[in-house]
Amino acid sequence: MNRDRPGVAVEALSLEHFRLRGLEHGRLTGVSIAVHAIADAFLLMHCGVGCKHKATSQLSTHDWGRGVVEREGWTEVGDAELIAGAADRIGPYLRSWARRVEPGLMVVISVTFLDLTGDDTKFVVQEEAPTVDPDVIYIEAAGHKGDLHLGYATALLELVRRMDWRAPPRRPRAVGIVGYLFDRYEGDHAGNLRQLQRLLADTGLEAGPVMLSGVPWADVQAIAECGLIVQLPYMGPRAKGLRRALRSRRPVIDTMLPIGLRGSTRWMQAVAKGAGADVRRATLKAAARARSVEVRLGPFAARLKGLKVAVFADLPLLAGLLSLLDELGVHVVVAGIRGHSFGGRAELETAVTAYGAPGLDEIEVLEDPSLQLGTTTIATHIGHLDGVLASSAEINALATLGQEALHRAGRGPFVVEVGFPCKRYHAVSNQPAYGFLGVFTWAQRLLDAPRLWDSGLDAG
Amino acid sequence: MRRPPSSIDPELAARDEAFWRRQEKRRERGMGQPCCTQSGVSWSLIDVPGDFAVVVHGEYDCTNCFHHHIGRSARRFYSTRLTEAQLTRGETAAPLRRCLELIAREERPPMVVVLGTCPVEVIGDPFFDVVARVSAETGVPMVPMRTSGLKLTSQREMLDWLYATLAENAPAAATLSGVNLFGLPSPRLGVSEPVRLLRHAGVNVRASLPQGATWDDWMAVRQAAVTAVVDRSMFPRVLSLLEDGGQRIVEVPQPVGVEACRQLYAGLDEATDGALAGVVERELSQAQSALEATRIQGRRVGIAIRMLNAYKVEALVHQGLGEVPAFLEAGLDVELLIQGAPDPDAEKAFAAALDARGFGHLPRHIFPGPWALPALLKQQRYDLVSIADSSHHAALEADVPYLPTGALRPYLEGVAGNLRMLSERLGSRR
Repeated sequence: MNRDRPGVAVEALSLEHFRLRGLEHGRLTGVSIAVHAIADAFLLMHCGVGCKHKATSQLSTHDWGRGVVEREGWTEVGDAELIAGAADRIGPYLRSWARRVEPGLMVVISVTFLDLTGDDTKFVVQEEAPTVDPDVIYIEAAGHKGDLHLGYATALLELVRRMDWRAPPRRPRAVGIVGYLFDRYEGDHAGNLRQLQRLLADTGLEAGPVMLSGVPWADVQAIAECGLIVQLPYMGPRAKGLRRALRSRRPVIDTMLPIGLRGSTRWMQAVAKGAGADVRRATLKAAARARSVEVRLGPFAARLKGLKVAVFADLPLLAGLLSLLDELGVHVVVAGIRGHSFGGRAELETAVTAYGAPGLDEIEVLEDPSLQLGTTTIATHIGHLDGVLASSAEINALATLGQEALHRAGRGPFVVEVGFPCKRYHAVSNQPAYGFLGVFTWAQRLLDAPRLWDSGLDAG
Repeated sequence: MRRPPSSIDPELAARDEAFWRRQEKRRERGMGQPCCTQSGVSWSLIDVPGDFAVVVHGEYDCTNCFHHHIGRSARRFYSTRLTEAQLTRGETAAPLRRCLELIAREERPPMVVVLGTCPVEVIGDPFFDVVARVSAETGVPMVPMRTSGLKLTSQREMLDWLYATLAENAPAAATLSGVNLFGLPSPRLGVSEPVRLLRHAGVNVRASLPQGATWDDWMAVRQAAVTAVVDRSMFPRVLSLLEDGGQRIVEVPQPVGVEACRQLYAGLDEATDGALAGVVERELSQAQSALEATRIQGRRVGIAIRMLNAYKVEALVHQGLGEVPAFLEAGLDVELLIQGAPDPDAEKAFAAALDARGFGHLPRHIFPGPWALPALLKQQRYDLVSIADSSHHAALEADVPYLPTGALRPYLEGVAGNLRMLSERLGSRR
């Protein structure tokens, strides 16, 4: 346990509490990612000038597939507007942007310093919404609590609430997926979405829309036509809200991420069971897929077996990676849980167990670690650590230790960018992380991973 | 009663448009985008290697206003992580005190910079008092700055404030010697061309600021006899402070293109009593030859300005127009694309600013935002555009070859490569 418990007195807080963390993105960033994931949505930020960076800066680093700045605006609040009252600015900006960009959906957020003035932004947005053509949704995104994942899940829930679930499903056999974290228009997501379709087909089910997947708002709403809903873990922080919104009108099947052979198999089994499909058929199909992957992977597997790595990822992804890496024979020495929306070590243990992977006894687990803690922990293992899987934030911090601190036999550790944001990893072609084919992507990325430094003189 | 959508209510739409333009006019006087000073100072300091510490006093998401995945000192940053309850009850002193005490005790940094944020500004938090007390108690120098996004400060003003603050807190020297380079591009690793040439000529380069500068460089800023600066108008506070300390200030151009480099080295030569002329002669001659061998005629380039909010000195000096002479020198017909309100008053302000920089004669087009750029680029049919990288999708959509702002390499060593790159980009459509 490296984190101070919630509710600890200020006088007892440790320095770790105050340090900059690996995932230091609040709800606004999560909402921004959700809006970006709807092709024709527009984000209006009722905020000050610096808050704009929470939405654009790192997302534009992360997504090379689609521009970020063209579909967002801000209400330009400064000190003068604060004194005079700022909420009445929302209407004119909403209408101007609606006319200019003609979005299918407009999402409005506010920030803490404006909430402190007592303005009822949500009410103002509701008042102004009828003056524009597109749907308008207000989403709470103040930056004093919650992380990116809470913001993303909250956005999903607000979108779900906008849909009409009262009518009987027009596609009763179709499975809609809620809680897919679509953070860029690149080949990793194209590959994942294809894999989800394939897993459903192998389970004998019809694939419906995925929330979210880069399609326009009208197409997102088609998920309400589905007879079944699969909930991925990224809906987790708002899972109860989702069930309340659906009010038993659709069965909701709670699943892990389909990562690795075990993860994909168990995902299919869970969905088949929840959908009342043939679980045995799904299991046989999964076994055949897994066997096919194992055969193709065979000659390369020995190159991965025995590698020692540190992994930093959000909890759902981390659990999937721990299972996958175990399947590949890669030993995880340090596991850092990025963010706090999904819990800490105990929740990770539960998630890993759900994959059927070994527990965490042999792993040093860091909960929502600071960049400093993550970096120094990796440094203590550097003599016997081969690589690091982490976001560009942790990798960048690690690199600042310098070549001398990190080298082993003329080389630094290999680095595989995962999570948000990625600076160097961009996927032109389909590179799924999910499904049976996703195992090839991970194996390929591990084999090809660049090193922080490489003299090129190692014996191979 | 439900109001009609604005798309069918021209009166409402016109009223809103007028409102929008009034708002834009508030910040049309300068040629740069406004900024949050907390964001800007953090963004600038996070890439300065050193053992200092920065505390962002506010809610934790205030640290999300700057990149954490690029800078070299992200591990030196802290947030007081104020909760909603602490903000509404005004209980912000205790977490700040605790944070500062722990940093002083466990890290012993040479200095702690404490930054304000919008939430603490709104509640009128007197955090300067806490900072002063903890600094006195611990003996660790602590510098508070009342930063936030509430004032529409220009990026240029923000950087001058930050640099002046650092210089104020740097030790003064009994005797001054050597040269500072201020605002001249510097690589993240290694030394820049002028540093290499000055050292070859036996000149002591004290600090190369701010690009590539370490904390130690900043602490040496008051020890030089001469500071060579790009765009003196951008740094009135810090230069005044250095001049008051006895330094001589020499203004040099942004060193992109042959003529600008010639002027740079002439300025440095004069500032160093003729030490440099012989050293740079050969490289100047080679660059001049490369320029004369390049034949670009009748090709139009659109250069976008007022798009960047990244606090980069090289993009802010000369109001973002520093690369324009290099494009002109290469033989291109330059037109300026200015992001701003299409408003007569704003247009006048832009014209005056361009006239002051000697670019008033260039054709210019004003566009209201990135969303309007594709249509403008399609309409103008440029042979090349230079735009903010975050808007490169606009160039792709308009099918125009593009360069990200700042793509031209500085110094004489960059001239041949720049000309080659321009020729290649102009040689074929994307």
